[in-house]
Amino acid sequence: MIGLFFVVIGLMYFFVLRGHVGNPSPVYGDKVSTAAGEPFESSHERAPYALVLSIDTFQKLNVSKELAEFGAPDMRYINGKYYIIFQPGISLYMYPFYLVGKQFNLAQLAAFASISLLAFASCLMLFKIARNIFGYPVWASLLIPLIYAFGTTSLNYAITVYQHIPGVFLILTAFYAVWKYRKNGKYSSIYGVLVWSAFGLGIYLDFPNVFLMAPVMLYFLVSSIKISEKKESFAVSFRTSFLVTMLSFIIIIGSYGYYNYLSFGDWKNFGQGAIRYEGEEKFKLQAAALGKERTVDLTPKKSPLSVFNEERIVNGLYTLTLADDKGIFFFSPVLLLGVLGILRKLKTLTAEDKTLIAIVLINMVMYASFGDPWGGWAFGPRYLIPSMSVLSLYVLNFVIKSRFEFPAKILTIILLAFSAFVAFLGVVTTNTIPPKVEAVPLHLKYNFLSNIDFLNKGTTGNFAYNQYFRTSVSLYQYLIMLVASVIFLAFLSLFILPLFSEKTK
Amino acid sequence: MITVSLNKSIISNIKSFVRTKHWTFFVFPAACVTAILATLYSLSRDIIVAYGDAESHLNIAKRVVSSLTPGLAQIGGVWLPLPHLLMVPFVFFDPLWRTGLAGSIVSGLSYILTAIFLYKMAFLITKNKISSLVASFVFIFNPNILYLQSTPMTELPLIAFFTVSIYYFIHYTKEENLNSLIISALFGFAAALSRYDGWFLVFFECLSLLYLGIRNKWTREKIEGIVIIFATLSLFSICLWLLWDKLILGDPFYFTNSQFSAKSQQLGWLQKGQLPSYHNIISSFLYYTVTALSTSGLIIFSVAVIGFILFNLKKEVKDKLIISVLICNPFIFYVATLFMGQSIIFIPHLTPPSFEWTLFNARYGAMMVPAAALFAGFAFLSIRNSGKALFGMLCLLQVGLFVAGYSPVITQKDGVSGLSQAKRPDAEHWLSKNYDNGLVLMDDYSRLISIVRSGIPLQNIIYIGNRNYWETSITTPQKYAKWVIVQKNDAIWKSLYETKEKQDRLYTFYQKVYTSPDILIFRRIS
Repeated sequence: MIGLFFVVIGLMYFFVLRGHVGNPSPVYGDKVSTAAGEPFESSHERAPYALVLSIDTFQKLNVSKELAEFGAPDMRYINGKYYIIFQPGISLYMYPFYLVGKQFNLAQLAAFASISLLAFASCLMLFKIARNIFGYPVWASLLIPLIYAFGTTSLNYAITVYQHIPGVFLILTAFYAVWKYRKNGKYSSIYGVLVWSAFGLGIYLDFPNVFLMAPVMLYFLVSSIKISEKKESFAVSFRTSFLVTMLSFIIIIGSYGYYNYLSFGDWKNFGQGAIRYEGEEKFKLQAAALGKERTVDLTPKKSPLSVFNEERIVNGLYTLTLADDKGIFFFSPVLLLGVLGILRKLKTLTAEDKTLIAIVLINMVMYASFGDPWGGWAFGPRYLIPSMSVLSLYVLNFVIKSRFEFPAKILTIILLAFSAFVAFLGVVTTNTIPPKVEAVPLHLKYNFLSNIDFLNKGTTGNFAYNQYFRTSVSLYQYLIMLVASVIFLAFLSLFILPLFSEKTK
Repeated sequence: MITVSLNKSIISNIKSFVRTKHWTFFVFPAACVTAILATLYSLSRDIIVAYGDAESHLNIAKRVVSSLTPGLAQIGGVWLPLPHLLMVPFVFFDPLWRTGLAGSIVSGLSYILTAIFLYKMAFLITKNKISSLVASFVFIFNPNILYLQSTPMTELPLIAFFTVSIYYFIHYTKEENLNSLIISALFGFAAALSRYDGWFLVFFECLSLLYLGIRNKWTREKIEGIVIIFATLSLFSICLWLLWDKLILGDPFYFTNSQFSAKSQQLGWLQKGQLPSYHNIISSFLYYTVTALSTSGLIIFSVAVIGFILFNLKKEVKDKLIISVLICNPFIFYVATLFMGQSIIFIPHLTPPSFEWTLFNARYGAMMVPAAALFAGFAFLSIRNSGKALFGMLCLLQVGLFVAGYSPVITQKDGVSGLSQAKRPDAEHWLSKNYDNGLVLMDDYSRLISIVRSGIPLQNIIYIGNRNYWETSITTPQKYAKWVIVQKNDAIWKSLYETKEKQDRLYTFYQKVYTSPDILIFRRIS
């Protein structure tokens, strides 16, 4: 049953994949569409993909002029070379998938599917966490991945190239691995390696993961310390495996240093001194305004920490939680039940609960303090995807602990249906939705309502729909089918499976 | 596996060391050292007199001893007098006045007193030395408090009187010792003569006594007696101030009715549509909450909120309602005054960027730092040992946030770059080089230049407080003043420069020696 459930989840990820048949590459002069709804609608997808193409075509970590144009404005320029602005982790991860896909004329689709694969793997991790750590019954443990996968806007970033889904996978993996490490079983050192590796890869992927994974690493540290009381003394024991397994982290970070060395000539240079390359036209304009070629970065130098500032926190929190252009509870109201679930558990918090709640708090506070809490033109609060995974876990705490279980389940289904509709609406149309601050002056719509316009036009970059269903169903019907599938699975989990399941632990 | 064995006797020795040592061993030296270091830091960066108000406080005190018309009347009728009176012995010395250290001494001593009494208050409530130390240290190491205690601003004296008064009040509720009540009233009296927030405190203390009497089922005579004893002394300060304003300035409510009052200043903002909390309770609440949060520190404030909840849920704590209301009464005061338009706060967290200024009066949040410290200490007491380690880490993280610049030291930022900053016009620099004795006529209220920085002796200034000199000089300046400083639209501009006719008269006796878009300086033709 569990296997079947995950097969369906996997299938649904397939049904929402965005892409086309072919091996598009601007290097060879291919005209790649960047229209809204297409796989390369945003530079956030184009830039990492440009690096994949560069590795494949030129075996280089910098990109050619054509690829720089393709990835702009998420490019940087230093010493006459172009680099992507992001850390290289995601491109390096996609590369093998790209190569396999290329053999079947599905390079882009395979590269993008690699992210969906991590989203699927995160669902498995959530199931394991719910089942083993939280002790939820099977039906509840199955609903959690369903909520995370299709009831939140994490779905919109599972079909495209953003760092958030891999980040969540690493956070959940590290968390689960620490829990296993804590048990001090036969393979605890392997779990230690896994924790450190996940941490290293997290940094490779995106710097803010240092902060997001900090609670997990603290949990790891605490798990390696044991204090026992004896008659006349306290024995403080520290597991050396904590330090030994750190080697995996050092290797990963070392390889990152090597990337920096190859790219920027210094292992600790992360691209400092590079200027943002926003395309040739803009580059020429900037040079003309300066009267000379832009060779130095004109943006004021900031310390990495100053990117985040407490003074933005109030507006940022509002934007990320309630605002009608990006608010997590506006786009995915089912997660409100997650908050209630946490509140219900406040009196009996375990170390695991504290770790997970700390991830949510750090995630919220960090990005609320960020200069661009909207995440640019994006669908929903993309920076809060780690919080979405954690809050999904606690939705079931609300349901299980509720005195009125039946109404709680009904409420969950209703909110999940709405949240899934919103997420799928974005998935079958576009992620490039402007934040209100930009949309209002441009007289544009600024939340998922603008996706309805795309839906009405029937244009989509959805692979399965374009390949198999376009002739038989309308895009609107396709959307309804996807949402109905989620509702059906949720109904199954909430009302049918409990009839065959053991009681809550 | 590395195992370290820690002898229990070492831990018990540490515990007993902390328990047996008197509070002075920890709190007093820590407060003294941090006060001195923070003041030296402010002095080295020339930010002791960064606030416009800071210089005004210094000058008010200085004028009592050094003015054309020295005396107590120089205390004025808008700002409450006690912080200025406390500065008088120090401003007597010119270097202490000009550097602002006269004010730093008063604020610094207040800071030390607060640290000590915060410890005592926490201990009185919790009977736990370590959590009391935590409460005191949270206050001691707060960078906003550290900055304010190095300045002549009046917040620290009020915080000190406020804390001591509440400490003795709580002591009274526990012991019913009349001496404690009288001391509480005495410090309430001092608080009410320091800032208007103090008036609110003493009213709340009176109400609390009434509540205490009713709750403890005291006899009517006892309630009357206790309330009268307390109110007579504490509310006497208010009567005294009303009387002062009546006698010196002709209106007992001069502090709120005059053109110099906060209320009058707020009207200007209201007309501009930039008084966001006026008659808006949600905005008032949000503005003060965020200001208190920013001043206390994001993490400390969050911990304190948890501590506050735990404190009020704890059955064993006696009189928690009274303690909570009294220690948090600045919160009620500021939310109320923001709502009524009697005070104003701009804070970048909330104030729209379209406003003329986004930072003003953020220091009001400092009044909630003692409450934050007390409840953070209580949170520390309430958590288990593993949580205590986490608490320590959170405190370090808070320090990190301040050091990394994530959390600005908002009280300092307001003084340096907010609307509260003292203006530093070029005219001040010019005067410091060219002033060659003689009386200077200027409208001090508009703070066109800094007197302490200009090098002009205060007794050479003719301002509105030197009534006879002033009234003569604004019609016939040549009688006394060698120098006339005019700022666009100030009182002197209006009386001596506004029209062509007035200008001609001025130019008969004076030569314009300095011109800038806003400030003109005239020197008498010899």
